[in-house]
Amino acid sequence: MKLHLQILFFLLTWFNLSATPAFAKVALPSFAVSFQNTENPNLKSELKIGVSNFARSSILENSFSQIEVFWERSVIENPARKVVQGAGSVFKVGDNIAGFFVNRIKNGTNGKIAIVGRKMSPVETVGNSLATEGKQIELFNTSFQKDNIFKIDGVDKTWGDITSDFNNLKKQYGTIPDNILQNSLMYKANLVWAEKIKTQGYTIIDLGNPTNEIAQSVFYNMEVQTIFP
Amino acid sequence: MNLEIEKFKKEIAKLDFNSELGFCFLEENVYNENTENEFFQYKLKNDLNKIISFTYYPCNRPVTSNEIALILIYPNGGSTNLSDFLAYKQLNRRLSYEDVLQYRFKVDCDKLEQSIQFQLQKISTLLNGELKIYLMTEEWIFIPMHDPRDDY
Repeated sequence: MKLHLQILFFLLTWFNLSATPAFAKVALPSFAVSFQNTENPNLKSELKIGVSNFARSSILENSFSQIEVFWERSVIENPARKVVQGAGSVFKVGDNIAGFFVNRIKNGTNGKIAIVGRKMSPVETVGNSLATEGKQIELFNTSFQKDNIFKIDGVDKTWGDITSDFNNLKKQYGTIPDNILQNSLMYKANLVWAEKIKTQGYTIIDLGNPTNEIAQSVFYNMEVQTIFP
Repeated sequence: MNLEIEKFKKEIAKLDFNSELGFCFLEENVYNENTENEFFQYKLKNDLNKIISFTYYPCNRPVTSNEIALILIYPNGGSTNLSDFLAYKQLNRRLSYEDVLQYRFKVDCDKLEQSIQFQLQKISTLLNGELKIYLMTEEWIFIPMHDPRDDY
């Protein structure tokens, strides 16, 4: 009898242990479905808007297909990795946002999210994805800085001033040397912005160098040194 | 205050952005007052927390001058320059700084008053026409722009 009880106990224990991986296998598809429920309908509905919304639908169409491609890749390479979602998300290193991975993070307090990275295309893809979820995003680019005023050397400068100055330098030098770049309005405004997002409690996501650029960037290097010294 | 800015204020006050679009006055500011860098901003806001921002750059100003810039600002923090919008509509690709130059709202400093009137009227027509959907709904526009920092 004792032997029977021991065998029964062994079988019950073995059955319970074997149930865990079975549950994990079931959990994966439900994760994939939750992505589709949160991301895709928004983007797809925006693609249906029509001709009058050409500008937005066009860029989102690109972002959408990119997101799909990266999503498939991330599922294949790392099925356990979750896509960040929800208004109260806390980001962590390794999180996948729209196909790009968080390389470094500074969690903030003001509810706003700033994104930096070596190239602007991934930064904008991530920014647009989070903005579509309704998050307050800020990037250092035309779309987000167009109306901001930057106090540079005691003078208020618009984004128009900053981009015009940069263009004038390009005309003058062709390829602008680093020492001139560091005195440009663009560089100084970028520094003002990096200090602002650091001191005003933004959550700052650094995507690192997802496109594996070989050349160093004085702008990105300055942002990293300012935000993550 | 720069006399040109006075003229611009007088002209913009004549336009109605409320009855059709529901935008009310938000604020106006003169920056770098009484210096060569002086410029003026005039902002309107609607119930959806969208903002229309006019910037007037006087003639003889260094770097950016004799120009009206119109920017739509969205609650998500993004913004769209009307000149970028017009350029993108035409070119339908990622834009460079040079692509937008011919779509800017430049004023003729020799015929300032008429020129300001003309450009403001043009802007007003666009806002009440093809941009209306972006002003009166939750819609927002993202224009892909080349970031010059990416070249360095």
